[in-house]
Amino acid sequence: MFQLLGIKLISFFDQLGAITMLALKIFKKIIKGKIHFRNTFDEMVLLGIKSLPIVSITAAFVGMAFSIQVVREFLDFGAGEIVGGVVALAVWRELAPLLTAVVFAGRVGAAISAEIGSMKVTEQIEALESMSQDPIDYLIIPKILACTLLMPLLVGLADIIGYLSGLLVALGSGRINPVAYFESAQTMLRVSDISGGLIKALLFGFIIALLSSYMGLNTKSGAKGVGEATTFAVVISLISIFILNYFLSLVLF
Amino acid sequence: MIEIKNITKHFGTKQVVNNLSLSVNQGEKIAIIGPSGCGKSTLLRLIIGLQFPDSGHILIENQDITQMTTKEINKLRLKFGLLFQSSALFDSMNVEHNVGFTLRENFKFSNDEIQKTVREKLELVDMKGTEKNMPSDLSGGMKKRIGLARAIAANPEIILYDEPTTGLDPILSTNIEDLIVKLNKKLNITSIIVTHQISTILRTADKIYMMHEGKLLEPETPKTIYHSQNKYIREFIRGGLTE
Ligand SMILES: Nc1ncnc2c1ncn2[C@@H]1O[C@H](COP(=O)(O)OP(=O)(O)OP(=O)(O)O)[C@@H](O)[C@H]1O
Ligand SMILES: [Mg+2]
Repeated sequence: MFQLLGIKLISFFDQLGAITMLALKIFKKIIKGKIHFRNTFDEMVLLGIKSLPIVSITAAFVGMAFSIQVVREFLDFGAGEIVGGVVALAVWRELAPLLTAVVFAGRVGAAISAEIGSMKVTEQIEALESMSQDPIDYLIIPKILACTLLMPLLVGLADIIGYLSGLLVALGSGRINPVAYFESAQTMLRVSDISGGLIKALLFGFIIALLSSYMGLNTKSGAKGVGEATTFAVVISLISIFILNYFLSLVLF
Repeated sequence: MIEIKNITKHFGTKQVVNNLSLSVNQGEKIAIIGPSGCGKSTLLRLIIGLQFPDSGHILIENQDITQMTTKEINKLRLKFGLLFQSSALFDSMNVEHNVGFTLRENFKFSNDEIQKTVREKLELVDMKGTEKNMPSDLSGGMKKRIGLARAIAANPEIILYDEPTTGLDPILSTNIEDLIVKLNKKLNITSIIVTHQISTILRTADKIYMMHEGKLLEPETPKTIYHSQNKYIREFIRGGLTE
């Protein structure tokens, strides 16, 4: 029993070490300027199109659901005029970065690990190598850069959509003045609330792409291996994001 | 010139290559035969540095690939064309981008030059006009020929063929065999052909090596192979004919 736990623990640290090594290798290459710009741009467009609809829908509905609660409770307290500020704070600091990362991991992270995993088991990674292309340079770095740059854009969009869908709910209650909704946000919010959320987004994008790429590259042979790698990539991305989010909230705000 | 000196390769505890040596001269065409799982594809991977031997040396034009940095290996690989057994086409790219891959990424050809070269190579493998097809639209035999077109796109000096004719009908198979011979003659290309197909062995190879227990047996020629002194080779060839 303890022995099993020990083995699990060792393999956990092995994996962590390997992921860190991959991250360092990627940093080094990026600093050296080994960036395949065409692939990076293509990935950004492709992943952007993939994730835009679900990110928007998620932001709208989460924004509305959250506002329903806030509007109801705050009106009871007679604090209707600060609803806008509360919604903005919650959306910009926590809800938009976190939930965008969740859907991004499910949509894009899964797609990355499945793509790289199936390239691995069908020898396409070796084909790249045989034609003098380093898979890290050609495949992985473009995906990582694309995700890291794309996430802040998506979260920015989710910020706006979430905040405005809160306004809709507030207006729907018939007892909140839209001017107060905007003004309260203006007085309660600092720039760091928005920038903090975007920093989270940047890191989440990087983590999702890194973990998904790592899982893809380490896919065991066969279609079953690809499925397992994909599931694992999503699960491990989500857990990492939730943990990281807590610590980031602690230091950022 | 390729010189393989006493290489050994294990996967886990399983020994796949056992103290194997081989030398292939510039412009020579050799075939490697042997039962499934005996290590033929592994041997090709070792030659192009996709895997490394546990011990021994592999010299390509006097440069030892086992001692090189990744950068040096990548440079050396530009001389090679490798046709994968599974074709290994890039799923995300159409035929034109697959075949033109190395021209675009390594040789920085212009789009026009790439299109022209791709058209030529597709014609050579009887796949004219398939530029815009995706690999998922192609049959196994078609993929194989696109893989071949990709391998020869940049006119490599050395071509490694992993079962170039498996899964092709007899006419296509003959065309590909002719192509292998033609490329070799015209451009003095060194060819290593891994195959199970008797017609390919007989029609393309100057020398035929059989892989047995991780080593290569004494080579035969298309003329001598039917009367080989070695019982493994005789059995293999006879088995192949009665199949
Ligand atoms: N990456 C690997 N990890 C572990 N074992 C491997 C690996 N690659 C090959 N093998 C094993 O090495 C042996 C030789 O494999 P290889 O693919 O070279 O055979 P082959 O001669 O090409 O067979 P076939 O004619 O079926 O293509 C097989 O037993 C295979 O299971
Ligand atoms: Mg093989």
